Order: sequence, then structure tokens, then C-alpha cells
Amino acid sequence: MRSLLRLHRLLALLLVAQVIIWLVTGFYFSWLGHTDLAGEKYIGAPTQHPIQQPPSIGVPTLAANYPKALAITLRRIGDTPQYSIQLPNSQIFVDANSGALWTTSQQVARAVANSSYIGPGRIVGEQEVNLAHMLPQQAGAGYAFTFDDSEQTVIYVDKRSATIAGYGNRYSTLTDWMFRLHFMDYSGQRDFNNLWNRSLGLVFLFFCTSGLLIIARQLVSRRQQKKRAKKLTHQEA
Amino acid sequence: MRRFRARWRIWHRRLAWIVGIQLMLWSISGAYMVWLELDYIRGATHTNANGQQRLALEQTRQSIAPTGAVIQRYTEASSITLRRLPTSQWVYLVELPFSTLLLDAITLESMTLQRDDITALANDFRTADHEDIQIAGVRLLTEHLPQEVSFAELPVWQVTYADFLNTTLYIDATSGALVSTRHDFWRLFDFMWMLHIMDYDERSDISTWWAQLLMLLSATFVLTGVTLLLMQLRRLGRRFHA
Repeated sequence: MRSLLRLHRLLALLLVAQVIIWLVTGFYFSWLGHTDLAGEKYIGAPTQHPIQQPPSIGVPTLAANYPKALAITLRRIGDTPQYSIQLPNSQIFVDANSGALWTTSQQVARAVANSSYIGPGRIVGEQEVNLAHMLPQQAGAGYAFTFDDSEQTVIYVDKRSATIAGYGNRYSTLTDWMFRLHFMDYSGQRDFNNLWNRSLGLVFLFFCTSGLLIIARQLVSRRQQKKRAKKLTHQEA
Repeated sequence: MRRFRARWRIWHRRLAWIVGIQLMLWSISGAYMVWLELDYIRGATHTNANGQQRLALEQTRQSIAPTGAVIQRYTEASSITLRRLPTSQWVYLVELPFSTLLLDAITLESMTLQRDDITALANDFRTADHEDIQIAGVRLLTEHLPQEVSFAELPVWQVTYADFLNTTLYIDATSGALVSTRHDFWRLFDFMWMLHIMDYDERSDISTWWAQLLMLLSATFVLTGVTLLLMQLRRLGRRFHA
């Protein structure tokens, strides 16, 4: 039991900083809640526009050009029809009138951002960004639109597809660091299946088990001591 | 000093009684969740939500109706998707403001997915490693959703496989899209998630007051432990120097 107590103390030294980090970051997530963590307080379903006009290139024509495609979807972005082509391992976006690869202008991206915003603010800042630097598990170029509401909502639009890539707000930087610390993934990709997290998770599990065992053992020995003391007083009497 | 240390130890033990079980549950659930790959839990290794039917046009003898004809018939359509069902049928999926329609892509007639279509779709969503596993049951859910897909919209088809993980696929009855894949490791993950966030009802609210209280008490418990450890180290240091 003494060696278990020593090991428990040794592990405590090793774990203490990370356990405090887990508790503090966990409390932060709980305090802020899902909506604020995701920056979605003023976000609604984006407005869908009717396609109305048939595009210059029909779906069957495009299907013939992409024989590996699994599905082809036609929709309208602003005034331009767009095809999204689902390939076995990727997705590409094409201008349905010209057949060229889709690229989103800042004006169209602004309209996309506005169509999913339901808050009281208006756009006060817009810039072209690298999505990989702004959002976890995203890549490529995009636009960031900042709204002047109480949350300072930011809507990111993917330049490659004109779809919403993600959201942010005034807590985003802090939230990002809290996730890095909680998941021990300092790349910012929020991958909680990393080796650090897995190892410390197991060590912490052992630490908690040893703590409970120590308490249980102490309880048993205290009971035995009490019994012995009772016996002694009984014998003396 | 000795009395002070004894008092800290008593408080550390008292707090251990309050938070010990939950700390244990956090460590068990946390370890389980980080050890299992998220993609595996989500079913990405069991199923491919895109299916495997390619749009190879030479495989159809009849011509696909032009997109213009669909737009002309459904002027409110906000998106039109062409895909091929595993039953070799070509379909257009049309998104309308408040509904979704599935059309035969050749005749443009509205169609409803039948049990055989759903079986073929489910098998198509399964990845190659799981092809030979038999379906144990196919049910159309129209009134109540199981808790494991409480977010889905009715009606939805439930396809259960006779494998050792009790894999269940949920397929949208209108579009034939894969809504979600569930299996026993997912179900255990969901249970662990419930223990981790301490929302025993909906398993989605991370902001319950009791979870926050337990986290604060746990932090106090850890700090009392650290203080005790520092006291112990200081005493050892003194002994060593003496």
C-alpha cells in the first residue's frame, strides 16, 4: 500500500498541471455552451434561391464529362448556376454556364454570408483569408465577414465552393486555445485521438483508480483499528 | 504546522468522497473516447455516405431528361441532384422550399423508395469489407425516432445488420440519403459522452449547473492535493538538509 501511495504522489506531480488544465478548460466549455463555442448565436439556415433558368450545360452533359462522378448537384449562387460534382474521394465545383472551375467573388461571398446571418448587426469588416489558419480541419482560400453585433460574429465563406466554411465570434481565439489545451493537440486541428491525449488519459485513469484504492484501504484499516480498540476496552473491562 | 497539514488532509479526503466517483467517470469516459478513432465511431470505416454507383451514362439505354425540363416543372426548386440508385435506376433529387422530391430521371415521374430499394441502398453504403454481412431487419419508422438518431426527420428507414457490432443504418425515406450509421462502439461512446458531460437525459447539454459545480469542487480537490504534496516535499527537504 505504501508503494501505491508513493506512486500516486509521483503521478500527481506528473499530472497536476494537465488535470488543472482539463478542469479549467472543461469549465470554460460548459460555461460558454455549444452555441457560443461554435459562434452560431446569430446563424440561421442559409436562404435557398430557386434555380429558375436552366444552365448552358445540362446535368447529363456534365455527367458524360465526369464518368467517375457519384452525384451531380445543380444550385444557384447569386445569379450564377453552380454544379457540385461528387467524385469518389473529393468534390469539385463548376460554373454551370461556362464549365470552368468555380471561384467566388467577394461580392457573392458577402451575399452568402448575409443569407445565413439572422442577428441585428451588419458587416463591418471583410477580408480574404487562408481558412487553414482560421478554422480547424479546413483548407484553401476564403473570406471572413465580421458583423458588429454583441458577439462580433464572423462568417467564413469558402472561395472554392461559395459555401459556409465555419463561424467565429469574439471568444474564438480563446476557445481555440482552450481546445488545444483540453485535447493536447497544439496544431489547432482539434484531433483528440493524438498520442499525448491517449497516454495522459490512461495515466489519469490509473491515478484515479489508485486514489480510490488508497481511500478504500484506509477506510478498512480504520475500521479494523476501531474494532481492535473496542476489543481492548472490552477485555480491560 | 502539523495541525494545519492534518486539516488540509481531512479536506482533501472529504472532497475526494464528493468528487472521486465523478473524476473516475471522467477518466474512464475520457480514456475511452480518446482511444477510439472518431472516424470509426462515426461509421466512416463501415459506410460510405456517397454510395458507390458512378454516373456512367453509357450504362443507361434511355436518355436522361434534361435539367431544363425539371426546372420548368418545379420552378421553386433550389437544388437538383442527379444520382444512380444501386437498382440501376437513375433519379433526380429535387429540393423544394418545404419538401424534397425523388423523380425518375428518365420519365420525371415522382417515385417512392420501396423496401428493396432501401436494402440495395444500405448494401451500397456499406464498404467492401462488410459486403457479405446479412441484413437482419428493415423497418420504416414513421412515428418515433430512437434516441440514437433523435435529430433526424421522419420518415426514416432503419436497416439492421446481423454483425457482432449490431450495425444499424438510418436512411432518409424520401431522398435515400444515409442519415447516420450506428454500432455498439458508437452506442458505448454516446454513453461515455453522457457520463463525461453529465447530461443524463438528452446527452447534449454541456452547461448543466451540477457539472460546473463538480468541476469547481474537483479543481479545489486537486489544489488541496497539490498543497499537501508541496508540504510533504518541504518536510522531506528539511529532513534531507538536517
